[in-house]
Amino acid sequence: MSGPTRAPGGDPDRTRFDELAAAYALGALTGEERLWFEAYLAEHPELNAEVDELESVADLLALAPAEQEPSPGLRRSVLERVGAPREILSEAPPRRERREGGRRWFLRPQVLAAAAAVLFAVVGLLAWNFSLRDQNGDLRDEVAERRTIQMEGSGLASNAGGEVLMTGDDQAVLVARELPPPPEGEVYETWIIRDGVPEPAGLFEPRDGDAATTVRGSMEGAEAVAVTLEPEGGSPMPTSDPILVAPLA
Amino acid sequence: MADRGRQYLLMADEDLMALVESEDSGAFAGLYDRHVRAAYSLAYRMMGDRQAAEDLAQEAFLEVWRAARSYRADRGSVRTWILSIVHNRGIDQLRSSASRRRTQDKVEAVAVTTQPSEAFAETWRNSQRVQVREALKVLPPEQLKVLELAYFSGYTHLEIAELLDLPLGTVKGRMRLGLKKIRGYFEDRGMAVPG
Repeated sequence: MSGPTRAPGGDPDRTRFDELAAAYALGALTGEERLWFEAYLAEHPELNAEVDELESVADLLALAPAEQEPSPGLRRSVLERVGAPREILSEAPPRRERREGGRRWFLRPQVLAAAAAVLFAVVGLLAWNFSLRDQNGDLRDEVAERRTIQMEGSGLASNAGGEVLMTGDDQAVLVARELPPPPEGEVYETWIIRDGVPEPAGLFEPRDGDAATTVRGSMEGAEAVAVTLEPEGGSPMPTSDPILVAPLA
Repeated sequence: MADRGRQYLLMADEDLMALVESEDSGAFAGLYDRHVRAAYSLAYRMMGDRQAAEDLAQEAFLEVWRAARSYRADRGSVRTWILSIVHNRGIDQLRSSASRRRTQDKVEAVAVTTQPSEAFAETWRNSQRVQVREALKVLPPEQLKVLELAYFSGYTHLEIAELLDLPLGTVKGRMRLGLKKIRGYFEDRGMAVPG
C-alpha cells in the first residue's frame, strides 16, 4: 500500500498512478481518470497485486452499515423473477442471514421452546448435582453462567412476561408469554443493550401469545435485553419504548 | 423438494454458485437467504430509503442469477462478489444527478425519523461485523468522512474536494491513509483482511 512518494525514478505517470490508486479502489475516480488508470495498470501488470490489496480493503466498507431487515416480499419478488417453483417461493426464509448451513430448524419457535425447556432441566439437574458434589469448580462456574433473568412487560404487553436464558457461551434465548399480536404492519424486535446502546438482535412473532427466539449477537458485556414493537421488516434503531426488559447487569 | 432444500443449506457458497450457473433456482434461493441481509444493509446505507434499497438489492440478485458464470472464486468470496454488485449498481444510480438529489432528501428525512426513542437516547451502533467497525474506529473522523462519501455516496474525489472545500491532494491523501489504517488494523492483530 504505497504512497505517491514511492514513484521510482520520478516517473510522473507512476506518481499519478499512486495518487489515484486509493480513489480507484473506492470507485471515486472520474470516468476519464479511471480509463487512464486502467490503461496504465494494463501496461504494468506487476501493480495488480497492489491494486487488489487496496480493493480488498475498500470492499470491507460494504460490511460496515448497520444491519437491516428486508421485507419478506423481496424474497418472493426476486425468486419469481428467476422462475423458481412454488415450493421454493413458499419456503420460509431464515429470519437472519446464516453463513453455515443446516441450522434453519433451530430457528423454529417450537424447537426453541423445547430447547429452552431442556436448558431449564439441565440447569436444574446440574445445580442439584453440584449441591451434592461440591467438587468441580469449573462446572460450578458453568452453571452460574447459565442463569435466567426474568422479563416484565409494560405498555401494550403489560400482561406479558418471560425470561432470558443465558447459555454460558455469550449466547441467550428469549422466551416470552402472553404477548399480544403485534399491530398490523409491526413486528417484535429484540435488542441487546451494551454501554447504553441498543443493537438489533432479531425479529420474532408470537404464536398464540408465546414466543421463543435466540437473541442474535454476543451477550458479552450486555447490560440488558429488550423488546420493542417496530415497523414490519425491523428498524435499525428502536423507534418505540421497550415493552419487555431483562436487566443483565 | 424438502430434502433438496436441506442439501442446499449444507453446501458452500461456491458450490451453490456452480449450481446457479446451471440455472438451479433452489441453489439461488439458498444464496439469497444467506446474503440478502448484508446486501440489503449495504443498499439501504447507500440509498437511504427502504424501497430504493429493495429495488437495488433485487437488481443485484438478478444480476447474480444472470452473471453467475462471471464469478471467479480466486478473486474473492461469493459474499464479496455479491456486495460488489450491490455497490457498483448503487454507485451508478447515485451518480445520476436526479437520483442524487432525491437520495439526499431522503437521507435528511431518515435522519429525522429514525432517532431512537427516549428510552434509547444513545447513538445507534450495531454490533454485527464487529471487526470491520472496530477497524473503522481507528480512523480520524476526517479520513472516515472521505471514505464514506466516496464508497457509500458515490462521490468522486473531485466532488469530495469541492464538497468539503479541501485541496484535491488532501482528499487523495485521506483516502490513501484511511485505507492504509484499516489494513494496518488487521495486520497489527495478525488477522487477515476479511474477504
